Amino acid sequence: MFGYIRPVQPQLRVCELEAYRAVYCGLCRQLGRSFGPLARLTLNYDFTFLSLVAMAVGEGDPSINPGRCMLNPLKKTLICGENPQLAAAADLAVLVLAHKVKDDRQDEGLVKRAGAAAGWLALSRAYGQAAGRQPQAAAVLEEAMEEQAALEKAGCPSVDQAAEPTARSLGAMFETLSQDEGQRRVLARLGYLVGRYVYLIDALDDLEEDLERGGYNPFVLRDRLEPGDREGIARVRQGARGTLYLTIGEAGKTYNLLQVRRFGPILENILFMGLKASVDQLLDWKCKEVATQ
Amino acid sequence: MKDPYEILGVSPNASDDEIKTAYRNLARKYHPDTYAGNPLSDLAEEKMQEINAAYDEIQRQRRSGQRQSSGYGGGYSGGYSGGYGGGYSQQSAGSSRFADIRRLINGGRISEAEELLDGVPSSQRDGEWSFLKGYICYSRGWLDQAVSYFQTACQQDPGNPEYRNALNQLMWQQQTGFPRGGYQTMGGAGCSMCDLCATLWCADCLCSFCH
Repeated sequence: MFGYIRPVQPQLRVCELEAYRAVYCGLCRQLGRSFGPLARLTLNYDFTFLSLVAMAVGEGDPSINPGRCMLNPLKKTLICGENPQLAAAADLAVLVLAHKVKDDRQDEGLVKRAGAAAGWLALSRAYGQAAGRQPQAAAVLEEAMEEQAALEKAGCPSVDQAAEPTARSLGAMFETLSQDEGQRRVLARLGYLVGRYVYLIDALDDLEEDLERGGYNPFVLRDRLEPGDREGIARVRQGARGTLYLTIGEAGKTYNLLQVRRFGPILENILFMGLKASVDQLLDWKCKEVATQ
Repeated sequence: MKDPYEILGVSPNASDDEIKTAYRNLARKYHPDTYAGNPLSDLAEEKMQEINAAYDEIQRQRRSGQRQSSGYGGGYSGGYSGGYGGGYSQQSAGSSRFADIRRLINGGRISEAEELLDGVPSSQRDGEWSFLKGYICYSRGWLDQAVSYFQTACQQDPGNPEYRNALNQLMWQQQTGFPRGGYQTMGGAGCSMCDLCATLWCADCLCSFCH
């Protein structure tokens, strides 16, 4: 589910890459400060993106200072200092991850279930703390998870409807990042579209597995795909790419209306190139393109 | 008013041509067609007005500064303004069978509009009905369903430019992953992604000569 929202690093300028890494490291530190060192393992690209958006539209100047990472103490690197946006992003990261783990406990497969149970044990305290600080987001996520479960149980064949709970909860989270009425509307739609993207690319990623094991997957149901239909899979993948591109284009259009104070080029890289690159990579176009060049 | 040069994203020393290019790129980005029917079209319109005002202001400053109007004077001023008119829903509200529903949509009362639409008997569901259904889906973010309603609308009424524009917008996104109107933030004037890569590659080759 995580790690699809990332920049195309070769296309970042060196100073932008440094800023991106500084925020990544800053979020890691913040997770440690808020929830203890174990929580740092939950660090991922998606919430680095959320932190970037939060700081881009938020008040105050985030500080970026030289520091050292625990994992590589010999090398000095730039790290983003503590600020309210980073703290909120860390809370939201833990909330979302905890929900994911909670959800996995009901999944098939003993190993996965045991892993999820152990994960929940480790996360439940952090979840309590985060939910205490972000009660609204916790409630939205709770509701979204119930909706999702109902949709899957009913075998919903609509891609739009299947993505709705995830999309709406991210929309609600993004909306809180600004006080300005107009900007809140932009953020809500941007969050909705990014959430839709995350849900759909995850479904695309799991396509074969879900098809084989009979797990819920909106793309399989939309095109009435049967296991073993190889041509059908290729067709569904193409259709899924169209749906994802459509979402990415709309996210770009929405982003163009956002007033950012900083990190503009990084956010543009992620939204206009990174999201697409993740889709293309998933569909193996990278290898094919290299082979034909 | 904010610094007009800042709004256009150019330096105050930029040439007239550079300013014109910057203005054109921005005008394409926030073009009314790109945001037609978008729930955020009012914000895009504000942005467009800001860009137009900034361009006019720079023109005015430069003309009064050097007294030699060299053909650019006001050529683009206000070029795109006035194209915004509340998105899809006002354009043919007068002649529309669903004028009341269009008014509801326009006022942001999406669920009420949908209820009324769903109450229309299936024998009376024409191109406009499909189009408005698609429009409601679109503003909710249900993009896939929006595309299929717009497709139906275009089949039912192939000559309608309003339906055609809505469908073309989304089909463009489906195929390219970019909003129509382009993505010009990386390279400046006349510098595409390919140029960028080629330039980097050349620079890299030069570097290896030095080693």
